[in-house]
Amino acid sequence: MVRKKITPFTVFNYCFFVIVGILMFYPFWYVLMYSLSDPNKVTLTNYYFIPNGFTLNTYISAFKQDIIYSGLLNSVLVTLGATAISMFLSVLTAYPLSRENLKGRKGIFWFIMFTMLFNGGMIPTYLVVKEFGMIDSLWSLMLPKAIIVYNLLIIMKFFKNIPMGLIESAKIDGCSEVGILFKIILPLSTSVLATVGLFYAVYNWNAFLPGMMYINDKTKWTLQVVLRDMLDQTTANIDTDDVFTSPENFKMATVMISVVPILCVYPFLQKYFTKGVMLGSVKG
Amino acid sequence: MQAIAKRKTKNKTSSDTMRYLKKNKWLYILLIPGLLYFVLFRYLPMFGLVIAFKDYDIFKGIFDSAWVGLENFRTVFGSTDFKQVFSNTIVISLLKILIGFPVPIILALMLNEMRCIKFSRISQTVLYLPHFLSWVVIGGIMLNIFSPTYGIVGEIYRLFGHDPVNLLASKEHFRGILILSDIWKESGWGTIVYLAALTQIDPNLYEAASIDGASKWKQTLHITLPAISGIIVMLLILRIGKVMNAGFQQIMVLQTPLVQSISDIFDTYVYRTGLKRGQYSIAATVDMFKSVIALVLVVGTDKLSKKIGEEGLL
Amino acid sequence: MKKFTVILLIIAMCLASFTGCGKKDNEKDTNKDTNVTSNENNDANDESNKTSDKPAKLKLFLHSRDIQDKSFSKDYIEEKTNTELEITQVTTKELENKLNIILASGKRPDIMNFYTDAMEDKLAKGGALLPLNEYFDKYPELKASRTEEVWNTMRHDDGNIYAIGYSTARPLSIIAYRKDWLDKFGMEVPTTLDEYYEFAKKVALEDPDGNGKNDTFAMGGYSRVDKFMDHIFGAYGVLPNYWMEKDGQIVNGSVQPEIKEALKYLKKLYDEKIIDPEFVTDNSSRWKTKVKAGTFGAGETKIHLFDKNNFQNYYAPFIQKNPEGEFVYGPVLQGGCDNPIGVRTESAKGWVRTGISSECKDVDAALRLLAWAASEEGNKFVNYGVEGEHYKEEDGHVTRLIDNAKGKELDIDKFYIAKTALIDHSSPEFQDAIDYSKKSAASNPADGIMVDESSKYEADLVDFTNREFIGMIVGATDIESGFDSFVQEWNQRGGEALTKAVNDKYQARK
Repeated sequence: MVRKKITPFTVFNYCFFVIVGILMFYPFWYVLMYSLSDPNKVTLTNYYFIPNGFTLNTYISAFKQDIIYSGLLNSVLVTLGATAISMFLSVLTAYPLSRENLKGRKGIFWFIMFTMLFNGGMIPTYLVVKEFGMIDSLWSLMLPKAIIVYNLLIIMKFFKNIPMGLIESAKIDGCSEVGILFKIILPLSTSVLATVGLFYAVYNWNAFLPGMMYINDKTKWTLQVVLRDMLDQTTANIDTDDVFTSPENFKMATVMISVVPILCVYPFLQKYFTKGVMLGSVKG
Repeated sequence: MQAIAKRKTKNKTSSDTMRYLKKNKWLYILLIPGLLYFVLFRYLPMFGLVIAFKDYDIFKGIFDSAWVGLENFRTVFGSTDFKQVFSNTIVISLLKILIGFPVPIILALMLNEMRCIKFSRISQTVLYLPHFLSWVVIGGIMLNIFSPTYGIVGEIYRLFGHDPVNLLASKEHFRGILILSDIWKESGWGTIVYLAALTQIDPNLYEAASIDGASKWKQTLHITLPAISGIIVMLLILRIGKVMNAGFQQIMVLQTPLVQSISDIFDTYVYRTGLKRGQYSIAATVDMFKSVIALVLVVGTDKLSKKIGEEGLL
Repeated sequence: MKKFTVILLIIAMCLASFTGCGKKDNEKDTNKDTNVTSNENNDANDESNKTSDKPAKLKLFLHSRDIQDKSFSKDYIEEKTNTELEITQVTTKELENKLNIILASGKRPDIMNFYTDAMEDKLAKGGALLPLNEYFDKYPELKASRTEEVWNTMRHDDGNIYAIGYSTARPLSIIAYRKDWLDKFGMEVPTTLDEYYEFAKKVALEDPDGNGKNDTFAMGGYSRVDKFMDHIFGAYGVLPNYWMEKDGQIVNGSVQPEIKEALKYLKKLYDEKIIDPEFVTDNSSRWKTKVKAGTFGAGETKIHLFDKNNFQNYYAPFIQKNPEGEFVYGPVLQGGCDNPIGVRTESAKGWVRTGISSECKDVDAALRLLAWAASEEGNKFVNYGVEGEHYKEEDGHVTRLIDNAKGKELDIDKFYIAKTALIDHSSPEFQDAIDYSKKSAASNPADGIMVDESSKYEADLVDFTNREFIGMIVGATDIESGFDSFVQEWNQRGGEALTKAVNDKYQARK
């Protein structure tokens, strides 16, 4: 049993993260408190440790609008679907590329890498999506950015770190390539799969432009588009003396509404970040 | 003798290739869906790259718009402040890389040392919160904090008996604020990849090392860092490739007239002066320029990394 | 193993099915996009020429105002104009972006909103818009909805008018002072620059709100000199980033010699902490917060502070924080030059513009809709609803009978087609303030003149002027020597070319 030493470094480490944690957390708290504040109380000196006149009206007026529910639903659908598709395609593509002895590996790699550096632009992409008949379809939010090369590269690097020995011995046992991928590589890659899965999920959840560009039907808008639209409405509505909302408070509320759901995802994934996945996997 | 041997190997390789492909056909089949995606959704729209060389008129369409050769590039490069703006972009970006790139790594290593898992997990979650706030929101908060009349910074100045300085309007401090706030916002999120990489290290290595009497520091240097060096180098190369993107959102929000001359970057300049407004040709030209530079840098640093013994991107 | 083959094949097939037949890169496929609606549109139009009973189908591309698919207002409008409206809405900032994309893909909405000169120019030059003036005889209400002066600002070089703009009360700024602070110091409303200086100094240094802190100023701003300092610049007869007429020629206020004196005066104010030093870093929302908090007491400010009915939500928060607070407006300040001018006015062109596509299949229906929306009767409905049900009117003053939630439900005040924003529901103080400011406001003689040089140089010149002037006001640049080199550089950066182009057009119009 290894005795846990409490070194000065340990103390420093914990203190450091308490301070840094507060720094990181404060703006988030600020936004939350602001969103719960009374829009009519104007202030310049408030640090928003507590709401400036507590009120839930801002949130209530947001959730009174039906469109926020369809927005939430669409966002959930798109995020889940897109992440599934993206992970599937990324894993399938990353595995062969991680095998150093693959012939043509360099060529294929740069073929893919090129797309990370050069892209055709908004209008040509729109035209292609249109030709595929995906305008006003949720597919347009899931396919055009199905593989993000950055994520693909990360998976590839992690796959590469898995010792060839394991693969060799599996082959000797008569396992096929696909079998190796699913029975050996993936179980050993839980941390990177959780990481990249999170990256794709966050990307898709936060995406605004595709929804605005490709979807005309309001019932198919994702949450980000809905919230941005609702924010614009309140800015204009001030014109008609709506005393219950104001742009700043509403802006803060929209931030909270769009951020909180996705924040809940990471804690669930943390358990995949366990050490020693490879413990004892290579014998001798 | 040698000539005959050479001929033999030549004949061997072509049939070897066929045998190789057959034996590994599944590896190539696995690549098909991904490659199909790239062809359909990335290469197909690339016909739009020609817009940079045309005077794009949305009514004429891409194909019927007039060719102007390098005219667009001349407009962009010839604009009055181009030199200053370009230098700002490079300087700010390099500073951000130099100072900011190691931070997530260091944080990940520190988090990794935590024995209390719960504390570690909570720290991680809190650390990435700023990533989710947009610069518009953070900018507003920063304006409050740095306000000489009403903000905390102002109070601190008065506490020490000085006249408050508006740091956001100060040429000496502004770039520093840009870099520090960028680090604050993105470092937490950046630790995730490294934390994942750290889990791949065999704990037995550490056991063995500590039995041998190696200190924590030595362990980090000789076990941890080499283990994740592959990922570090790859991410560094990619980051350097993006040097032309020095933080458009952030600078758009925080920039004010008095500090514009030292903080205007390529993207904000083009946007602000309306070079880009509704003119897709100019936008495409700017993107093309950035892409070419990115390609050169990525290929260059990849080769460089291989020379110093790292594995580079691939 | 077989499972994966199947999955892979399915994915591949799904992707393949989306490729359709022939990935043509030709965007001119207006007919390709066979929409059932457009086919019906054709049939309906053919019939409407015969029977004119069937409602005409129109596709609208509008500034997003949360218009519902079916609502009281929409039904009412459709009934009154015998149309059936299919509306696509886009969130404000992305509207022109999306419009570009839709046009590039070959689709033309029948009626479209857009905001900028650049977009309007592009559409007009590309032949995408219907010249409205050709239909003025047929639709007199359309013509009558705007004055000749306003139509002239909307006229393009070829003499045609391609869009109708959203009309609001102008100007939106006024020179105003805190009456309660004037009373406290026993002073009168300033009429000269010297009197202004005296009052402004007291506001900044003698803590009029009595809270023990030095947090009140005469004026503030947000990173520009061309929105909050007009009362000073105007006193010297020039306004930066604004066109004026001098000896029959169009010149830009930014490079007039009188600016030097104005800058010196402003520098004095800044040095003595009479101007909020944070004006160099504030943004629009922070400035608005400061205005509502009652931080500023003397100078150009928003007229909305006068509207007791809380137009744009300025008055209510202000009164809440400053229960004794009251504003009074003041005249153009004398003492800077012989002919001082007032604050600048927003362009008569308006903000949201509406145009009709030149490819619109049922032009009559589109014009019908526009004309009705622009007419007095139609516009009133769009703004307020039905008299007696949703509002009542007495002596030109309107009181709403329904609350905001109900109004949203009925889609009242949501259609921005040729709208004139009515202010009949604002308090009389507001309307008085607007009338007052209008009298002394400086109009832009070149309002509506569009030249190629505008898109090339204007944005940069505006930024450059703001940058340099702020530098001179805060003391980063010396005014005496700095101003002359500023003028030189301003001209070099395209200012000279721009001025000449605008002037040429102006002379041609006279």
